[in-house]
Amino acid sequence: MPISTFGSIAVLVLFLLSVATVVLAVVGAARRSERLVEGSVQGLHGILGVAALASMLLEYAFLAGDTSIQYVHYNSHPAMPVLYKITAFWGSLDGSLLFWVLLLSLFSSLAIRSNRQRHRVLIPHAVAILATIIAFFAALLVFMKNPFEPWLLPDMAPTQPKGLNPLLQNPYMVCHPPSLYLGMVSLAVPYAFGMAALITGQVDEAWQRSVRRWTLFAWLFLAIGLVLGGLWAYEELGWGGYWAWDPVENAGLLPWLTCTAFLHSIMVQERRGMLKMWNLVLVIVSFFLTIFGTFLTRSGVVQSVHAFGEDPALAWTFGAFMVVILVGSFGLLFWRRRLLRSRHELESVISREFAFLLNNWMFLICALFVAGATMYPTITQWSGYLAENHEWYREIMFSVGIYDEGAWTAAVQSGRPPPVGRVTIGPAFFNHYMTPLGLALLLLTGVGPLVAWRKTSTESLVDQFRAPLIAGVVALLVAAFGIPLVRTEGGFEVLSGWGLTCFALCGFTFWTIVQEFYRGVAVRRRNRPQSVIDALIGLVVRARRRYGGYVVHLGIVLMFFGWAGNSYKLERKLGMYPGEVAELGDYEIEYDAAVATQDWQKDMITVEMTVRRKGDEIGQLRPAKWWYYQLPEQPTTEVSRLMRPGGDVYASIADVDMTTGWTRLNLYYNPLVNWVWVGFSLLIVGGLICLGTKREEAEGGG
Amino acid sequence: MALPVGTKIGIGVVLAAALGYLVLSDTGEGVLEYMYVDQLLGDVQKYEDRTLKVHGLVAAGSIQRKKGTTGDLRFVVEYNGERLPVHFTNIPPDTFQEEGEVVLTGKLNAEGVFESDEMSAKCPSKYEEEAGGAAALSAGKAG
Repeated sequence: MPISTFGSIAVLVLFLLSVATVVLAVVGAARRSERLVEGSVQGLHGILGVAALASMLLEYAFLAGDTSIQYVHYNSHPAMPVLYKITAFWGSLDGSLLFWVLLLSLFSSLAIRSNRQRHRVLIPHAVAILATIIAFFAALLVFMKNPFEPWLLPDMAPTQPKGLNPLLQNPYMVCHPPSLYLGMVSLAVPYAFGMAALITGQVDEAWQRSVRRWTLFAWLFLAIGLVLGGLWAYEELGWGGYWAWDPVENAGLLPWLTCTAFLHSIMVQERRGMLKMWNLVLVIVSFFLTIFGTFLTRSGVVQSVHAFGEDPALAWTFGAFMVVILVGSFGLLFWRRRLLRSRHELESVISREFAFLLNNWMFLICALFVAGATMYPTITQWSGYLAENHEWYREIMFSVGIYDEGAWTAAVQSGRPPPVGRVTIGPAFFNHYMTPLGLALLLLTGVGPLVAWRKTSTESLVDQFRAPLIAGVVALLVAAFGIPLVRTEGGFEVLSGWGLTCFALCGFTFWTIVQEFYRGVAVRRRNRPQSVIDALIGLVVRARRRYGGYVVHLGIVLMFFGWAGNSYKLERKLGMYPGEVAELGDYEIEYDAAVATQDWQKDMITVEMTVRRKGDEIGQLRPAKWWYYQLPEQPTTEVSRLMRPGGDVYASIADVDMTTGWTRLNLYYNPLVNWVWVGFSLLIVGGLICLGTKREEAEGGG
Repeated sequence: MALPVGTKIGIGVVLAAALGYLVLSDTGEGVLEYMYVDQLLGDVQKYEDRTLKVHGLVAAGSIQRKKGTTGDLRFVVEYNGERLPVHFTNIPPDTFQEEGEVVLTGKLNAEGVFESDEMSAKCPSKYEEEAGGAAALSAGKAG
């Protein structure tokens, strides 16, 4: 049997099995039948088996180069390295949906397995919800996007394979989509348990204990995915930056924001029995945003660097699914609203609870803002389309003044396209709002740990804030007068207000964390004499969640430190002949030679440059253009950067004229950029420390 | 909540003021009008000298690369039979090619040339060829 047939059958079985599992779980829960519920749990494990089989078949097809399957034909090339053949599995739409199902069934299986004995009543409902989500994606595979689709007739198969876009043949690209998927998919687990809690009415902390680590896991992998995507853009696209508020990047950021909010607000519920309803809202919204993100990237509704292309049928299907999720989830929440009252009330504004509440509002505002701004261009496009095709809609728009009736009629009469008012929203708009919001969150990162639960006394406030405030002021002064990040001939670059604020807040927040560690260590050493290192390790191990959280905060501070450098970025576009020297801030970049080479995959032209600072040679830059034999009409830009703690010297080339050696290039100086990656590594370490929390501790910690 | 009403109002006012300040200080930079070539050329007076995004197809055989110290690129984008000459002064994205779809950011100058230094290029044949199938886009400066 050809793989295409075998695989198509597997996908169909996957769909049928997931529907059967839903039915078993629902009926089992209604009749309180242990046997049926047990059957549904086994069904869920069975789904994982079938999904794994289908994935292995597709993987095999790629490795064997079975181009009788359309998906394999379009996404692989015999000359492609094996690693990229393996990852081509999820490189495009159909396969990525199968990958999604594989991960979802894996996580569902694991989550149900680990919670079976502890939260028995929740199980059938959680199984039903997880299997429903799997069934939705499996239905997409069966009815719309079968990755095993063969050519209609065997001889229709083209002989020339297409292959993976060379831009995507990059190690970051191997890890970036799967870690985003891991993060997004694992959010289905908290959602399923949250909904199960609502259905059964057992809305106390039990469901959260089942999902806290899943949310943390999701949060961690979303962050990894986002940063790897940024690194990829930074090293491959050659425009000198790593984040451009592209819709697809935003799609990954949105659930990360609400996840972060949830991880904080869950502590308020544990400690104070407050925010029960809010926590459920966050779980629903986070899950919704993962589906929304998939919708954005898979259906082509927004234009983006990495969108997979337009597909109205898929867009409608996702749209319907999203409506079901929203109506169903919020309906349940409304039905159970009486069970979700707070046990306590907010007592003071200067309390940990209030800091967390503010933090939650901020994260939600950020998420709403990013979602709105991402969708706005699409909304203007839809609106324009409606107005062009439907008179009633046009009339409404004229009457509320969104479209100008005179201009519209004039355009139509002279045969011109009507002014539909489509817009795009670029990074400048996002930065305008997100910079202050981000800085406010950074401030809260510092303030949160300094204030006590319930209320804080004045003496304690002074004691807690004194040192961090001094640190903030020192950081501000040092940044303003001490360290010239960028020196141009005429002296210092103009200082940026946001940049300075960011440095000051970094200093403040950094010191709050140091203070927490210092005080913790001091207490341990007072209780039992031991070395500082021992005390530090003991401290972190004893309260992993708390100190892991601080390590995450430390990472965030370093990332902000790196972002502050962005305000001092330098950019030059110029043409050069060999032997010429370009100045970039403190740096002198000499163009030595252009060299043409080739290997088995591509022709390469490399520009060799020497970088000097104050006369001393500090390194070489080797930006290049590559022409893959597979796609000769589209050369790729290979960026070169010189990494230093103070910042990157970054070069990419546009044109090289091999007869004269004249080359046109973009040079960037990105101050402090590497601290973003350093901070991010710390964030991962902190996240892992928290993930390792022992169960007992998770129940009592804070 | 057990907070005094005054405190609640205070918090509300502070948040509203901060948000209000942000909205008022928004210069509109970053929000650009977006249109196809035919719409731009349909009302040249209206759009002249405004920064906007224009969408079209790179006309076959129109790309000219000039090699001088201020290296730059000239080509024509077309849509619905309307043709717009473009002067582009940045590194084009790797997916830029003749007959490919591009979205350019820039201004129409008095000579009727679109001056641009930012481009997204879409390549219909790059990734998957199915009808209505996938198309990869690649960012020029900032997607």
